[in-house]
Amino acid sequence: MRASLLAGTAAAALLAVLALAGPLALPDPDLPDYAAKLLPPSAAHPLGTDQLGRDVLARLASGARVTLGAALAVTTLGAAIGVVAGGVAGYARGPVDAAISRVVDVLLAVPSTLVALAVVGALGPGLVHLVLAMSVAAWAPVARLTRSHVLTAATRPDVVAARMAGVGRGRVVLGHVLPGAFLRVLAVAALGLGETIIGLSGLSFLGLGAQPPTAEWGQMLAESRYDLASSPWLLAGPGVAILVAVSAAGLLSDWLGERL
Amino acid sequence: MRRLLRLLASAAGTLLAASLLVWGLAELSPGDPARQVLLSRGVAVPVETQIEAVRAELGLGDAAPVRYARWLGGALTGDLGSSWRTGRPVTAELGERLPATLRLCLTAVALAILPAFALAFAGALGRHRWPDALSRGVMFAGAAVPSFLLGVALLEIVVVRWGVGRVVADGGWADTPLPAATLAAGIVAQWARVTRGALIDAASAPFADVSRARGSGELRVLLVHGLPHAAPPLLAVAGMTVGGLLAGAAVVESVFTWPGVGRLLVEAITARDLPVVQGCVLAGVLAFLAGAVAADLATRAGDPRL
Amino acid sequence: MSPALEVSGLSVTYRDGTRALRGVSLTVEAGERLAVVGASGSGKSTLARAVLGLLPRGALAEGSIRTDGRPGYVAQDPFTACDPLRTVGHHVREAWRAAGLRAPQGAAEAAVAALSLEVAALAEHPHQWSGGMLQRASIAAAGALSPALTVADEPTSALDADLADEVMAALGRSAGALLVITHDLRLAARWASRVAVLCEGGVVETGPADRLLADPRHPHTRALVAALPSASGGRAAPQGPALVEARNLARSYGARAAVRDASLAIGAGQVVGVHGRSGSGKSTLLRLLAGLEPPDAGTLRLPERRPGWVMPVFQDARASLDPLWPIWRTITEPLTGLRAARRRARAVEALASVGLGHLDPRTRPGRLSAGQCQRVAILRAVMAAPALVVADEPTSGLDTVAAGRVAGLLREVAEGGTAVVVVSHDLDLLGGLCDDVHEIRDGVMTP
Repeated sequence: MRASLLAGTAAAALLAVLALAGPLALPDPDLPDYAAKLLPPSAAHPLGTDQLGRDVLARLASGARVTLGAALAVTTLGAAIGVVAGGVAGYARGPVDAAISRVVDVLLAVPSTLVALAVVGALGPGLVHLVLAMSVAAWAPVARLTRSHVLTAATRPDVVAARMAGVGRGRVVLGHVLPGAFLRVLAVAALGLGETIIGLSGLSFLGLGAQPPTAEWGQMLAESRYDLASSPWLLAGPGVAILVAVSAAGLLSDWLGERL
Repeated sequence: MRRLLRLLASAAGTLLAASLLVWGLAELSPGDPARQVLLSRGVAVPVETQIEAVRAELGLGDAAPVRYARWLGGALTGDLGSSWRTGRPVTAELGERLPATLRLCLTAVALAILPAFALAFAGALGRHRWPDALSRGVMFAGAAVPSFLLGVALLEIVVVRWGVGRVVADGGWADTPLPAATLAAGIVAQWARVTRGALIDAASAPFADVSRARGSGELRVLLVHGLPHAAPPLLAVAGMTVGGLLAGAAVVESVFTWPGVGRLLVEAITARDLPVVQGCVLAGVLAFLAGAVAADLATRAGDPRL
Repeated sequence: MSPALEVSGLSVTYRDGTRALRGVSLTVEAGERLAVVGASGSGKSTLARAVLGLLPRGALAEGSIRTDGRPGYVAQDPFTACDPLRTVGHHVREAWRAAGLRAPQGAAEAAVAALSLEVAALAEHPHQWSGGMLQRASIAAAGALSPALTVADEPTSALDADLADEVMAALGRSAGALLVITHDLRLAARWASRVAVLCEGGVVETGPADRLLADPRHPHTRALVAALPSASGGRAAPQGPALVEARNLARSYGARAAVRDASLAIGAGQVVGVHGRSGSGKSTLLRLLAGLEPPDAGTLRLPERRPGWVMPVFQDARASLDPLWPIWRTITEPLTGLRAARRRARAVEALASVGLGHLDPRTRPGRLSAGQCQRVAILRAVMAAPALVVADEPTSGLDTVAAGRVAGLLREVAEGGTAVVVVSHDLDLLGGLCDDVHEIRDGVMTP
């Protein structure tokens, strides 16, 4: 299992370097150069240029910020809403719990892609709308997990023993309840991150997310679809980037899952 | 029997909640429905009186609960309104696209079954050896490769390079294999993972050891004891994949320009054709719930303890 | 006649490098009944698996095992030994099919009928059978091909005590030679002609069962015999004022009365046992005594109510320790006022005082055995300087040696002046440990 940690961290580090160092070292990703259209990989353009003569590597780096940034936003937003909603449901119980749980049940009973499509359908295409739409689907599993963690906390034997020994309520929550909840939420979030990347780039590929000229991996692929026959490197760039990102998330969540 | 009723009641409750969600989302959507309807009737620059007339016709002045009840009543009787794009009834649009989606999804499922079982058995029989490593590699790849990437690559290689098939599909049988294979790749990974896990669980249970001690080989243990234990979790997942294919097919249908419900949904979202979006999403939820209920019933039928 | 089983110089090393058996040699003559006794981790299960050819992949076996044909096998828990999705008849007939034979017409029916089981019930599924009957069906299946040797791995430990005799009798009737693997020295002495004691992978003592029980020679055998709860039980109760006094307690949850009438007095330094089956109300009684819930009726006199005056010991020891905390933090959790370094030193002292000095105080519960977890939980209780310790089935799931250590530790806690209440369904344990045992049934307690 150490192997999956190493491989996952290496892949994540590679993407982080690409996303952060890209703008410093690479040409402007959005500047067309009609004299340099569809150039194969060379020293000047390591991954070639696209149908508007833009540097593919630079667009990949810019796309890393967009795709991964949006995916992290979805995951963070989903986890935050989920923790708050699940925590409130678990502590408040009664009608509040019933209402929140019912919504969670419905969201979990419908495929998350469909939920995202429904929300984007109402709000209209666009990257921000897509992030919102996917967050709507992402918070439900976290909420269910947090709720059950909170509900069982009071009767957990280690918590009962601590309370009987005179340890205060706050200390018990800080020491026994939160650390375990944090680790579990992290594992669930990491598990969802890979699917979120696939969903985001997939819906952007369909034109429902990021709009041109924003460089987004799925959107890049959609833009260059009709030039693939002559310029196959246009498929390799975003394709490999998506695979590396999804694999990194999968490997890291595997490792987190093993630790629990 | 009581169990079946409770299952159906719960599914109906979820469907009702989902309908509220679908309707409510459209309410939140920006834009004036009356203008959209007029646009679909060919009135691009309406005058105020025309808008007022359509608003009255659609009942937009009524209170929200009244409008929801009217919409739900219509949905239950098969009236989902008319498309803002074409002016045709949404149910007609859906009905036209449904056969192509069904053909695609059923073919994908049929294609997925054998490879899924082969991978699962390879993993369970060759545990800790190369067949298991290979099957896990294939499963990981199947889960990590997005269908639009696979679809684009397949189109590029098979159709453009090899000249087999067409780029623009008409939804007939001749064009089915490629999109179905794309859709099947993700299903294979999912089914193989569940089946392999259940087979390994059964093969490491004490009753498997009892069978081995009596002289059974590994293959016999997996066939006689493993398969019955793999059926319930596989059925549960299969019900959800089949029901969820409508949503999953949106991507694949768009890549292959397949004239199905998934592509209709994407087109409707792009064109801001809300009634069609609502219709497609409701159909997707209905399919998914039906799949889940069917899987639950099949699981119960297969387990004497339940 | 050749022996039914001949094991010579058998050593087994698992893939992770653990040596489970070191040079074991033993023989079971035709028709003989040999019991192999040992604590958990002694290698007795490995021996059974090696004889049955069930060692896991990557395990290295040296030495030789000779059997007269394929042995029959009776597993520990009949409900997990039968495929729950197949009928009991399938389970019995598999004895022939797995060996590549066809079951002769009526053979399976005859085999179960010989152990006085109902033939018609073969068409039912295992969950419709009782544990004792299902184990007898397994015995019928194990004997189906009349093997020269039957291996039984803890055949009664999943069953109630009154069913154990029935099952052992069936085993004695249907098996040829018998190799019984067990942790239960008493069972071994009753049903086997010879006993071999296994300790850390080697046979340390072999002999007739009666001799071994009466005159154990190897130190490990002595420890096993000493760990047996003495049948006599009942020490003289120390006189003194009662610390906790309960009169006619009652407690209901909704319409269900968990405790209806319970009276009890516990003095400092006393160990009081409460015996009852699950659902008898004993856990609720424990919660009342601990002051975790108020009684609906009756009087309950408790001493001072400072924090930590009463501390719990739970049934599932591992779940009662925070999985993310190193054990030193768990043990010293009641010492909220002390600095970390002081607390850690106290934990090291405490661990050493109960024979766990070899454990790294930074270890997390996941790496400890269940018995070690329970002793850590008791240390946490003691650290709060409680007047009363309440223990709910503290030895369930532990093997004889580990259970003996936990019971001994509870006794020591009482000798330090603390009152201890133990509830359990295990009368053997209570008899050996307690000064006074009460019986609770359907919420009504009798002395």
